[in-house]
Amino acid sequence: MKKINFYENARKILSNPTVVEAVQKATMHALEKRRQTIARIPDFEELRDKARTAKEEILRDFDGYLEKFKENARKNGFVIHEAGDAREAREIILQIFKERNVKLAVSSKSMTQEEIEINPFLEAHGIKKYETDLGEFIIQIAHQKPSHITAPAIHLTRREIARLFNEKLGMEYTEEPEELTKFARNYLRKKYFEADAGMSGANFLIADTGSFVVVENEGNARMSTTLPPLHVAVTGIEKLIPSIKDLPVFLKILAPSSTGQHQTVYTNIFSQASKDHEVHIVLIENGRRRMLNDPVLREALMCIRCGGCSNVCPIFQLVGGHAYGSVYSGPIGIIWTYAIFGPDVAKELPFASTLCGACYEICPVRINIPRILLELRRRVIERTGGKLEEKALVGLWSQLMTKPVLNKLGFHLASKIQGIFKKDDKLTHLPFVFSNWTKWKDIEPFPGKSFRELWKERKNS
Amino acid sequence: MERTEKFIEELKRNDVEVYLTSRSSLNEDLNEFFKKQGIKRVFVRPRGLVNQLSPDIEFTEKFDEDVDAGLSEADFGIAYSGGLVELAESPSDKLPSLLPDIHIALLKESNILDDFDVLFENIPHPLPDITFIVGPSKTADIEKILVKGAHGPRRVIVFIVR
Ligand code: SF4
Repeated sequence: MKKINFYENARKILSNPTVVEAVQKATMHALEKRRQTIARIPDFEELRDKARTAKEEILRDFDGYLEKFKENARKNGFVIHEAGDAREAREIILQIFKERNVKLAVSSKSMTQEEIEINPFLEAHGIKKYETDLGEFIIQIAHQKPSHITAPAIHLTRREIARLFNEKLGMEYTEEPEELTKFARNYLRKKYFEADAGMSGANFLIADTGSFVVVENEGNARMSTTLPPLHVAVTGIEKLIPSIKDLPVFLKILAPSSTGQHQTVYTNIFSQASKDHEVHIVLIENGRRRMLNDPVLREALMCIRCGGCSNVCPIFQLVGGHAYGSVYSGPIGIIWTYAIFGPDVAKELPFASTLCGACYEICPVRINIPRILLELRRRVIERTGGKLEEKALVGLWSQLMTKPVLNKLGFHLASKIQGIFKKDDKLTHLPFVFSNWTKWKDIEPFPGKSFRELWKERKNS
Repeated sequence: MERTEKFIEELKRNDVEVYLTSRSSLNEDLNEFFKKQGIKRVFVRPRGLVNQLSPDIEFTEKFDEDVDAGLSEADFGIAYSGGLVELAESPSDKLPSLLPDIHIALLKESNILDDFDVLFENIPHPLPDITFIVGPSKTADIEKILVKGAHGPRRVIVFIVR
């Protein structure tokens, strides 16, 4: 992968007010819904602690739990495949498909599938794979990439989608979301029945039962995993949780942190396979073991991909997912991109953060993202020999941010965020970040102090 | 019962239509419902409560274009989420709650549980496939505008049987 030019990407996006507005709308919508939902879950903080503890337990004995999962999954009749990297994963999937003469596949949303870039690969081998999540379907026919983890097509307006459906799929032109959805529904209905294989990701791998879990709202994952005779689930090895008894805790924190829903419409727990309905699980390592062995990065393996940190991030709110130039965007996406695609590709990314701490605050499993970002900054600077690079990056950043329009926009967003969080939440310092851009520029991108010390200082200043 | 009330409250929050009935009036209530809604052909996987029905409509075990609704018996209800729990021994067990535009679920009141925890403590091993259903299928992928009936049912109706 080539080096990601975050600043260049960001500048391009910022010149498109429609995208900026759409991203704002999506993130604010999710945050507001989250606030309302969490008010109905009195033990939400305890649930976060419990989820954190369960994920810490996984990291304590990662290989033990992975072995246990594989053993139990095999007992369930699942066929387990292991891929060291993306290329291996693609070959494994192709092999499974070739052996069963698969020509047409349907798939529910999976970031891991995006990570291994399976679609163009299958296409090159004569296998057509349809994305069935509406947002993913839209961007697939638009030949674009997802801009938000839970709202992949949020950067497109209904007019653009209407034109797309009209031109590419021959639908009579209408901008009615209801009609557009119905059209996609009927279009994909046929595909589910015709498909030789269904694909999915996995939100959780349950060690003590060998089960895996897929959550969704549309029913497309249910269709993709039920109707075709073959189900191939592609997942990173970090999705482990120790026991099915831990699942309630995760189900209770995931949807509220993600879309702000209390629960997703469908939670699918798979524990069965048969001759007529084969289930294969492709476990992907692709850099995760490196993360596991890295004292700072390993914490990021706890991520349950809720997207909450993106929603709350003032930078993400401004520029959206495309600026990050990677399948994984937003604050945690910076860390994953760095870990998977390497420091040369991702060297600008750790600087695309205000270190305001909002991501840490919202993360349901309490990943200290700013601390990791600071460490990544340190590593980038060390690798590139220091000063010059550092100055260049900060320079780019301030160039982007000092434009009066952006300042205003930033401030506007920040005050919205302030309204969203209760007063006793620690986030009331957020607008500070925006009203003090000039001050911010004076702050060292990598101070010799811990994040907490820095935080305190900034609060007192 | 407090648990049932909580369950119903959550169901309604999830846009599920709720009817309370008893074993003896289930047939009558269902027939009335079918009639009112113009439902003539119903896709089922017969078992449990469903086997005891004698409806004025046509039951079919094969899904086709003419099916008006799907009927299933939910194994449990979860009061915490207003969720229906379906256990499936094979993928085809999952279809009545998935393919038709309208999904009607029967649920014994005694199978309403407070929370997920109770379910996972009591579920038999080896596990069947488990689906939680929380309202009609939906999407907000176009400009965040909510549309019901994305790929699955547009309407979900529950008959709680006392
Ligand atoms: S880091 Fe935390 S908030 Fe961000 S996506 Fe992962 S779990 Fe969610």
